[in-house]
Formats: sequence, structure tokens, C-alpha cells
Amino acid sequence: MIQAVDLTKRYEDGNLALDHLNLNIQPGQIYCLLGANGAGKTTTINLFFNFIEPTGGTALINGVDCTKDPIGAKRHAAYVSENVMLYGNFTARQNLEFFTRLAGRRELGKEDYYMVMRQVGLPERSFENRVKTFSKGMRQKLGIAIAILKQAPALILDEPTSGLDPKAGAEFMELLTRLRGEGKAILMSTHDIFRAREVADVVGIMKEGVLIMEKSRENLMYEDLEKIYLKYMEV
Amino acid sequence: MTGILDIIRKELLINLLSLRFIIGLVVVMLLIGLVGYVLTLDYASRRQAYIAAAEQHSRALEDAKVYSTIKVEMDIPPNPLSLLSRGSKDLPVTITVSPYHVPTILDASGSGATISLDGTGDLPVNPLLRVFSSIDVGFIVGMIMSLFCILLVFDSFSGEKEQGTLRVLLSAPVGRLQLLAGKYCGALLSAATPLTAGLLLLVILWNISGLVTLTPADWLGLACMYAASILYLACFLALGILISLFAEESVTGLVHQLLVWVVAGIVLPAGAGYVAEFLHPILPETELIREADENYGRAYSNVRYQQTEGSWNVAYTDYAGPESFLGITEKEALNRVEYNKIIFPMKFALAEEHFHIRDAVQRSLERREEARNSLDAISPVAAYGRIVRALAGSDIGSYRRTFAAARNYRESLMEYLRPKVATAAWVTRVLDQPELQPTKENMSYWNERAKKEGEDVFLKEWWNWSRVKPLDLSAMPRPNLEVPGLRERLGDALFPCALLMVLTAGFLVMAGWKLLRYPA
Repeated sequence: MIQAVDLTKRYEDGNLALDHLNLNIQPGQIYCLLGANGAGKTTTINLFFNFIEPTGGTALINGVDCTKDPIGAKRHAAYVSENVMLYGNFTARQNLEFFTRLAGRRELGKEDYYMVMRQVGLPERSFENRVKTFSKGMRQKLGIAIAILKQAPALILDEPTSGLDPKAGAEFMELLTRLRGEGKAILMSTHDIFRAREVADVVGIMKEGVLIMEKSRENLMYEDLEKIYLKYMEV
Repeated sequence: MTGILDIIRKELLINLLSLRFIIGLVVVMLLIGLVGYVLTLDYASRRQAYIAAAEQHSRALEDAKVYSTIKVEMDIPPNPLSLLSRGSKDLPVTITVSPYHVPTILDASGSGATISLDGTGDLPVNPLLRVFSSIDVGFIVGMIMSLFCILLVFDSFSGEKEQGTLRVLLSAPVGRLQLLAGKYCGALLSAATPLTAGLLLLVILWNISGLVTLTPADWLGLACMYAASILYLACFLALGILISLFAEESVTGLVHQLLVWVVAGIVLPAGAGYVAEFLHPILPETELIREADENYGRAYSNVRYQQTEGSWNVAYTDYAGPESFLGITEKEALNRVEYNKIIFPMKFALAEEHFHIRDAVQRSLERREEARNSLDAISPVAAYGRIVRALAGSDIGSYRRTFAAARNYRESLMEYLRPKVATAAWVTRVLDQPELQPTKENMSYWNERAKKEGEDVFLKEWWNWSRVKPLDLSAMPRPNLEVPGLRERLGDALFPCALLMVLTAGFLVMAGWKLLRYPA
């Protein structure tokens, strides 16, 4: 569903941000991408959404080339960023409505939006409140609500739990597990080793643009992910 | 397409809810309302003055008693659309056509040195007024609304990037060019709202006051002006979005846009004016006119009128003013006829010479105008100014055509007057009315009456001008001053309109090119 084939990005200043990355995330799978700042996690995500163009290789979502047909590829993927920013003067429902309609779902009514907001755990009283009054946790929930309503088979998240309090983080992970249960292919970049271990089916560690390790849940079962991470970071 | 509509709706909603939009709307409405009110009153008084002048001038012609004093005043009716663009302030409301004067556009100011052909009247007196012409609706749209457009879009993309919403937007299955189209159309609708509201307010004001009545052609002209204003705003918005795409930060974008606004709205038009003046100096008209007058004076002195026999209380004048009394014999009147045959063609020739001098000055002003137009051609503000002045009929082109029509009329008037040149003067009227001549019979009759009623009877009755019958001018061609119609005015507005379109398209293409490479 989410696939990278020899994906490479070299910036104009010569910096090689991503070097021949190969990924293949299946439906019903959560792939956690770990790595220090500047390891290439966000660059990978940027390439899937055509925010930037690759210098080599291919990024595919549901078999659609993200560079050749970015609009087609984006139809199959939803995006949640580290810090979901929405239109502050719009209410939660108005934001949800705008982005859902933009994703091509125009048949939904107010109740549908309310239902999804309930589902992600937003308090009822906030549905018609302006987003500029929302906490970061509430905005992240609203971001995931947008992603859910898009009904895309692939979900790509860029450090979505960063800055969330433990309760909100746990709720978020619970939501991800539920989405995996629904057959979504999920790619999540994160610094949070513990959350990754908790939910990931596959964990990949990146360093200086290279995927230096990839382990499945089974392989990690009896290993200490923190030690492995630190070991690879030192190499 | 549906994605574009969603983005338009979102942009419109965000703008309508923003403080800058509300402030802009209030300011624009207030300004258009106030300026519209003042100009409506001004128009009403100009209209009244026009009606009164036209009536007075028509009466003056009916009372004409000698051909030499025939002077046709052609009153230019004020155009209701001049409420939106007042145009040149020192251009005339009446064109005088007479055998001794060929009208030119320079008549209004009296000197070519103090008139500008770019629609800003009192330029050399106050250089600041070179930049800010009449405060009218065209000015409000040209200067204030372009500023409003800048405030609407200065952070169009840089702001979304700073807020982080751009990545969310670009993660949706919407093309970047669609996003540009949606944001642009949304901004255009937002900018058009105050303009539409302001113009509606103006139309309501006209209807309520009853001071302005628009013909179907005026309504069409108004619609064209509205469309041109939208095109102008579209141009500024496209420029604003383009700058927003190049700006690293919104604040930098705002500074750049304000700079561009100052250059486009003030520096370029004013600078172009100064450079054009430097490149095309005006001919020394006054000196040339004086020289022509001196030549005429010398020629005139060679053919000075020689009286053949005595007359009573006759004071001759050489120009159009009345000789004092009609105490003149037929023989003397016929002597005058011969003189007239020489002197009047000389007067007409002098008028033609004056015209050629002033026409040359006018042409040098036109060259200056052309130079100015070429120099500030890339300024949307200057182009818009030209469009509204052309559509309102208050631009120099409309006046030029009106004066050309006046000169054509003078030609037909001269065709009528030339054969009458011999009997043009006051004293020759005794030839039509022998009872006014001091013949023996007439003299004895009036002497009898003077004995009974006193000598005042000569002045009060016999030699009194009221006894002279008005001329029969039924065959004289009448002026039919038609101000340029909408089709001609549209023709004048076409080039600056095309220029604005090209500029807008250019800005949008560049914005599209930049957006396709824009890092989210």
C-alpha cells in the first residue's frame, strides 16, 4: 500500500537527505520510522505527499506514483503532522467539513462530522468552537478525524504524538490500533520508542538518510528496542 | 473543479471573518459614500449651471444684430459618469466658437504651460497634485482599494506556510494550480465585495436624491467601469499573490507589496510625468502669439479705415464691439463695406494663425502625454486611471474629440459667415434699415420731434440699437455638440484594459510557475 523504491532526495545545497530508501507497508500494518532529528523521516513523508520532489527512486501509494500523479496518490493517503494546524477562525466542524469536502467526500452532514469527532475523543462542547481556542491535543485529534473521514487506505503520520500528554498519547495510540484493525496501512515517524514498540508491526531505524535497521514485531518481542536504537545511533 | 469551489468558499469565509476585511469594507464604503455624496452635489450644480448657460447662450444668439459679433458658445453637458472619475479639472465646460477664434483644448487654461493632458489639471502649481488627481471613486479604487487588495493577499501563501495549514491543504487531492485558482478567486470575490457594496450605495444615493439620472448608455458605461475595476483589483491580487509566493515571511511580503504599491501608484506615474516634461519641452506659445499679433497690427495699420464723409456720433471699433451709434449715411456705409472686405479676412487669418500656433503646442503636449504613457505603462494604477477616465468621458481623448467637433462646426459656421463679411459690421446695418440713415427726410422728421420732445430723442430712439432688428439667422448652421459616445469611449479604454489583462495573466503565470516549485 505504502511503498518506497530506492527513494532518494538530495537537496539543492548538496545534502543527501534520503539515500535509496526501500519500504513496503501492507494494509493492516503499522510501520514506525525511528531516527534522530535530520535522519530523513520527515523528508520521506514529504516525498509521499509531493511536498518536495525526489531526486531518484519512486514513492508509491496504492500503486500510484506520488511524483507522476500526486493528486491520484493523495486520494489514497491521509496525513497527520506533528503539529496539526488548521484554520483558527473556523470551528472544528467547519475545518472538518472543508478538508473532507476537499478530499472529495461531499455527501456528509453535520451529524457525520459530530460522530467522528466523538470517535476521536473530542469533547462535545468543542464541536462548534473556533479551533484557535483548541489545545494541541485537541488539534491532533481533529487532524486524525480529518484523516478518518477521508477514508483513505493509507495513513501517514509525522510524529503525531510529540508534545501530547500521556493520556492523550495513549488515546491516540488506541485510535491507531483501531484503524489498523480496519485494514489501514499506517506509516508513522516518531521519536517515541515506547509507543513504537507498543503499536508497531514493523520498526525501521533511520540514520543520515539511510534505513539502517528494520525489524518486525516478532523479532522485537524479546529485545530491548531502546538498546537497539541507541546501538545503531552510535555506529 | 469542486475542489476549487471549496477553496474559494473557504477563502471567502476566512476573509469575511477577518478584522482587516471588516476595516477595509468600512473604510471603502465610507469613502465612496462621502466622495459620492460630494460629487453628486457637484454634478447637480454643474448640470444646473450647464442648463442655465445653454439657455443664456441660445438667447444671446437670437438677439444677434450684426454678423461680426456672432459668437457661438457650445456648452458641454456634464457626464453623469464623471461622478466616478472627475478627470481634468481645468478643462472647459463651454467651447467658444467665433470667426476670430478657432477652439483648441488649450483654451481652458489660457496657456499651454499650465495644462496637462494626463487628466491631472493643476500640475505645475502643486507637484503633489501630479500624483493625486481628483479625489473621486476612480481614485478610491485606484489607490485605496489596491492597498486593500495587498492587505488581503500579502500572506496568501507565506501565511499558510507559517501557520502550517499549507501542508494540510497540499495533502488533499487538489492540484497546486487548482489551489492557486481557488485562493485567487476567493480573494477576488472578497475584494469585489466592498467595491460592489460601495457602488450600490452610490446608485441608491442617486436614486434617493433624484439628482442624477442615468440613461441606458450610462448604465452600460457604469457596468463597464465596474468590470474594469474588478479587472484592476484582479491585477493587484495576482501581483500580491506572486509576491507572497516569493516572500520568505509574511511581514517581508507585506513590506515588498507596499513598496510595489508606492512604486506603481506614485513613483511611476509621477516620475513618468517629470521625465516626459524633460523630454518634451512645451513650445513658447505666448511669444509666438505675440509675434503673430504684432504682424497683424502692422498689416492692419496699412489698411486703416478712411472715413469718406461726415457722420454723427459714430465711434468705429475694429473688433467685434459695437460702434456707438448709427448716424451714418449710405455712402459711408458702402465705404465701410469695401473696408470690411479687406479687414475681416485678415482677422480670420489671424485666428487661423493663432490656431496653428496653439495646435503645435497641443501636439507637443500630446507627445509629452504619449511619452508619459509609455513610461508608466507597466503601472496598473496608471492603466486603471486611463480606463476610468476614458469610460467616464473625462479623459483628454474625449475632450480632444469634442474640440475637433467644435472646429468642424466652426468650419460650417465660417462657410455661412464668409459671404457676409462685407456687411459684417454694425454700421452696415443701415443698409438693411434705411430709416436709420441720416437722410434729409429722416433728419427733418427727427428734428421736428426733437423740437417737441427734446434732443434726447436722437439717442433714445433714432440712433438707439434697440431699433435695429435682430438678424435672421435661420439659415445659420446650429451647433450640435455631441459628446463622445460609449463606443468611442470604450475604444479609448481598450488598450489600457488589454494592458491590465496582460499584466494580470503574466503575474498569474509566474505565480503558477513559482507555486509548482514551492516547498511546503
